[in-house]
Amino acid sequence: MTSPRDIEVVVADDEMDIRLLLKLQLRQFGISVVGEASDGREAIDVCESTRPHVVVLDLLMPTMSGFEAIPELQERCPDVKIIAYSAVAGDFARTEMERHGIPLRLKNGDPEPLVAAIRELVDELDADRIG
Amino acid sequence: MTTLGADDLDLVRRRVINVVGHELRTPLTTIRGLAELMSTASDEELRETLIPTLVRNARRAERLLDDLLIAGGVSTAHPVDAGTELDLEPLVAEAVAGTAVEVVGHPDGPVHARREKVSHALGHLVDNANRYCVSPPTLEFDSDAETITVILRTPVDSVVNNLELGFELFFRGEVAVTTSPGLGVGLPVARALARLDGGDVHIEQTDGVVVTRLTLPRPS
Repeated sequence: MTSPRDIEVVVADDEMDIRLLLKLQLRQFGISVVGEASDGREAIDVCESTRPHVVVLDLLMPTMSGFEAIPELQERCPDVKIIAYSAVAGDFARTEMERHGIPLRLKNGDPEPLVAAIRELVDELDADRIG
Repeated sequence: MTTLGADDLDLVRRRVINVVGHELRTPLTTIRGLAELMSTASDEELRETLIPTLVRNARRAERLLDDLLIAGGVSTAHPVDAGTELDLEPLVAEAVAGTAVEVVGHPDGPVHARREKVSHALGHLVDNANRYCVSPPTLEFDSDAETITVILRTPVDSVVNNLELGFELFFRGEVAVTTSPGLGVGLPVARALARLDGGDVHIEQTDGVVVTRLTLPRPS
């Protein structure tokens, strides 16, 4: 089973300060940020090259949004789990993430819901591998 | 003149509230998260590294509040301090830091204005130039006997339709809507701030370049 120390994530957010915050917060929980991206296109490229367990994906980004990146991410990196991480989560975002089977977490400075979601997804990955 | 119906107004209201929520949540998330990290961090170097980020995000939230007050035209947004003699060069340097904007030349003397307001207006104009350029924008200065003008030249990839509508509150052009989140108050707020000090903001486009001018009075 993957131990907390082994968990690797990519953080995709157009806000540099949010990426810094997540890197520091996740490190406290023994989760490594192995790559960063500032839009959906970069997120796909970084996930392809680093193959993290999970990508934490902002939904509203320039050039290519998280919404746009999800289908391509799922096709090109099927082994990378996705968590949608958004400053606003209206009906559209909730419905779309439910349709894709992607957990949605709200940006609010509290790392614990995000960490819990990352661990759940990594447990699913472990279960898939064992199964 | 087109009259907005109840549905249109409701749509605008919801869009503005959503965007304000998005724009406020980013700095507040950073402030809360970093403050909690700092409260437990034993590493003094890390704490000192995080303080500028904390301050930057607090200022960002404060500016959004100022934008909303100015956009709302409420009297609490009006400055209580008087203008002073002001060198534009350090304010411009601060505004373009970390952007693609290249500064060319120097201002020909000081202006008479309020530091915070000019800094705020410059921030909006530089942010627009940086967001929508297809190659690095330039910032230069012009002057006459009465005024100093900051001129931002932003190369764009196509003709911007309805450029003057950018001065309407909450208006966002097609490129803006499809490329980046924002409230749609940058230009009107920059103009309102400049006018508080007897200046103005104008915008035009020629040959694939959007030219924005911020004019401020020289000291009398």
